[in-house]
Amino acid sequence: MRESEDILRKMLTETREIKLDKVPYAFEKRIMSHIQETPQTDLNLWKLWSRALFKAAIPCFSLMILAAIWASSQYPTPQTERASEIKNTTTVHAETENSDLETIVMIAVDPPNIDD
Amino acid sequence: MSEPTDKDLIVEVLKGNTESFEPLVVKYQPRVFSLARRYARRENEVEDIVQTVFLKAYSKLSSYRGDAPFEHWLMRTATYTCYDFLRKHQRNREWNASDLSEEENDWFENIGEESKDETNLKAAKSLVDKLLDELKPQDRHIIILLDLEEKSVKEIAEITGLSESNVKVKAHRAREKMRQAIVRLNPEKYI
Repeated sequence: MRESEDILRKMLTETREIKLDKVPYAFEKRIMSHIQETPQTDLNLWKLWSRALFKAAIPCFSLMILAAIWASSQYPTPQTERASEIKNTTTVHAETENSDLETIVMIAVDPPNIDD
Repeated sequence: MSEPTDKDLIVEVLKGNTESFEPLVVKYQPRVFSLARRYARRENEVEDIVQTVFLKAYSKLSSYRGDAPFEHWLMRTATYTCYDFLRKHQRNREWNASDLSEEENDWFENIGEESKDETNLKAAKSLVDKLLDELKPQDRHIIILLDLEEKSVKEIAEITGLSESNVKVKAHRAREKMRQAIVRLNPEKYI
């Protein structure tokens, strides 16, 4: 009586010895016909992506410039903000010249907020 | 003029010259068939596995970096495809002595003899296939790679994503299960 371990070893050894590499006739033709049927999207994915990215660059850049121009026309720059502040101060000063003494004192005690 | 190398052919395929893939298929298909026949028994299943391997290899060819031989990269793809097949076609059948064919019974009868004839070797393969049918897909995958494809434990750990010690434990348990199945298939020698 043989040990089951020996039997298993013999079975595996003999199984390894069998040649299993027989290829059906013209099998490569079958593979190639399948390959020619399938589109090459996966293969050229990076190429397609980089091409699309390059094409999109010019419209994106133009859009960015337009957006920048529009944004600068909508919001005051630091220079225009400063000019507006000076203008407000001058107006307040001009108004005070025509006021009476009481108004002048009130302005001195509680000066108007320039930001307002 | 010398034959183009694998790398030359791959470069050509990536340039869009599809025909350059054919010499690669011709060169490596025996190796892929041999592996697929360890996992599937029916010839139509084997052919489907091999076809899937080459179609996968073709579609993912741009991911081949060239730092290892193309054969290694291809055989790894083949191994993953074979394992996918095992998981999808899980049989887990338990065989008994009454299920054995005449050739398989003869193999047990002549166990002490050293025979290299084709019938005897085929009977051994058929018996091993029966024992493998009783294992879980992952255990079966490990036994095929370790005992039939003669891969190292380290290689199997890399392929399966398991630790080396886990591969050893699983292989030990799987062999134990196969030994028990041998006793069940051939009871008159043991009882």
